[in-house]
Amino acid sequence: MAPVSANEKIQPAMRKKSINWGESIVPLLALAFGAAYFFQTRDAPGVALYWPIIIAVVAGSLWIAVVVKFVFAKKDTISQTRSKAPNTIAKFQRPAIVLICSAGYLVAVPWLGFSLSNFIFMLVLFRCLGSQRWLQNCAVALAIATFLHVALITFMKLSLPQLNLGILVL
Amino acid sequence: MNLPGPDAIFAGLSLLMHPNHLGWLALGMMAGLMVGAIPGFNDTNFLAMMLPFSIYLGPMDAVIFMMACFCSSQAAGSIPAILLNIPGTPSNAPTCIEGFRLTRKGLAGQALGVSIIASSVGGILSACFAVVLTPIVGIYALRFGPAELFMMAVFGMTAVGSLTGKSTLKGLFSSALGLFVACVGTEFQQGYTRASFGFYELFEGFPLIPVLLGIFGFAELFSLSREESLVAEGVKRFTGYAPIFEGIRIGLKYWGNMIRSGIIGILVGLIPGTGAAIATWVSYGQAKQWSKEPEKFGTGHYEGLVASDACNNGVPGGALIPTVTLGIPGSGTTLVVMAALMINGVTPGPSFFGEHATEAYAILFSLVAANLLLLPIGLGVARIATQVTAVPNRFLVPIIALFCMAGGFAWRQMVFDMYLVVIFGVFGAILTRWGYSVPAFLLALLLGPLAERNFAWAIQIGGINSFLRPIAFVILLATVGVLALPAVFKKLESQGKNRNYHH
Repeated sequence: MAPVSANEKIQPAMRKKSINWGESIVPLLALAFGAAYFFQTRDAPGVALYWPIIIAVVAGSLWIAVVVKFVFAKKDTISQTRSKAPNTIAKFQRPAIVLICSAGYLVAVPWLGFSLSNFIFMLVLFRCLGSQRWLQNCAVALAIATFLHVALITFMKLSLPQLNLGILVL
Repeated sequence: MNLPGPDAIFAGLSLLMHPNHLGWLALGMMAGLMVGAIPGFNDTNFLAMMLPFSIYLGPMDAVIFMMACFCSSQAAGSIPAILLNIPGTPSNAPTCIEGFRLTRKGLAGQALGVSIIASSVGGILSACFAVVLTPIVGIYALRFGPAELFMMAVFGMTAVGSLTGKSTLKGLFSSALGLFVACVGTEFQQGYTRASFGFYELFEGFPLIPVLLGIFGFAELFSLSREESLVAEGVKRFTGYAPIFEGIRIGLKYWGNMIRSGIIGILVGLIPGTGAAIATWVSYGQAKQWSKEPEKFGTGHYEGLVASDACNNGVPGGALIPTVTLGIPGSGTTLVVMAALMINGVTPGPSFFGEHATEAYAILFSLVAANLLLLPIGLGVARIATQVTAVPNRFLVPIIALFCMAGGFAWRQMVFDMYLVVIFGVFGAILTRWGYSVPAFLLALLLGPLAERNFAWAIQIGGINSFLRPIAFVILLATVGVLALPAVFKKLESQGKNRNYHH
């Protein structure tokens, strides 16, 4: 009989299975939406609710199937941790920066006006995403902010929030 | 009702010939060629960003611009595929196999020439097919009552759901989720506002444009921001026009292959949810089966390149037919085109040809014109398009983010919609990350109110028996049948791939 290597002996024990919890994000969001929806419409007349109930039954059946599938489709813990562990933080850092800056931009727009917010948003994000040259960043941000101001406010007459500085409306 | 007469055809043609419309056509082509050349940012993302501004163009200019952009971006996706081995759109994967090997042999110009001529011929064939077939399908579609329209909506959602998700189950769940989200807002029978969550901005349901911009545009930023640049290897130098013209001559030798591949593109494009990514692999596999030199496939062979690119541009014509006649967009891009018509007050569907025959023909002819112009404009823009890929993502990401958020505001002029762009952007990224179908979710959101209305009317008119009428029943059977399609396409697709790798 061929001798069994140490590696082969260890592998079955190490191949511990676990549920991939990331798969639960969408079903959880769907569940939260469904619960909020029916809580909001608890006083609705029956005729307004029969279609949502049909859809909820269909979606609910598929929801159960999706959940059952991810619970029973187990992933190899070792391969998963080995492949994902080293770059987990780096992987989410930049998307998180984009999201935080966008949220900050949305809060700032009504106060700082559209054009100034655009300029600051681009300047900050250029820098955070790795562009080190301030002069270049300023030039690009100014060009884009001016283009958007001219296109959307001057030509298309959109009522975007503006900052009135007296002599200058941004 | 009879087919629209020659008057409508000529009126449509002369409408398209208006300098304004031709201008938007040319602009759409140039934009499409640039966008198609950017890997990872496709025509759907770009057109979703343009959607809010289409209100200021009017329905005709907007749709002509979008159709031109759609056609040319399919062709332009071949440029990075050939020069850099990076498919500009997912459908250009087979182009990489042959195109990049030709580039490595020093035949990049010839490969670009073959690609441009194959795309043009496949596109023209597809557009002509759409011009002939669309009115005929439109006439039959007029026989559709509420039950048939409801079943068509269900068919579209099932097809797109089952074919575009990572798994059939997740795709179908995406459709159901989209339908559920579409239940927000005022319902049509009693005027009761369902679950607006205290926001008056949601009284009419989730607005389409911010949702589209978020899911197609903003969601893409999260993956783009992780990369330093769109391409890793840098931009290959442009080597002049002589090899491109030689490539055009070479391409024309494979006219039979071009026609067959174009037809495959049209047929696959007709089925909602399939798209060019599947079609090109099917066509590539068929080309190898019919070829006299199958052993050359995968080594940089013009025949494989012709099959992939002719088929790729055959898809838009096929995809336009169900969009215009039945109001069932078969792909993300046609969904955006349909949304552009709807926000301009024109609803595609069975009555579209009867009520707007001139405009319908103008749209169809714009597809023909775009493909005819693909050759000259493609030659001009190919040079610049390759340079676009050199723009670093640290500049692209903030600019695209701004355009998405400003676009979200532009339609209803509400800051609330800018928030929706970001929220749905995050949601879209989550859906994509975990293999759910974004097109299925959006299609269901778009068709949800239509499905609800027609379901209620069908029940009121004839009860449950309405759905057993011949046409409705056939669509019901087709809906069940379409669930088997993922397995069929998977087999055909893997045959196409295997034929390449095993030789």
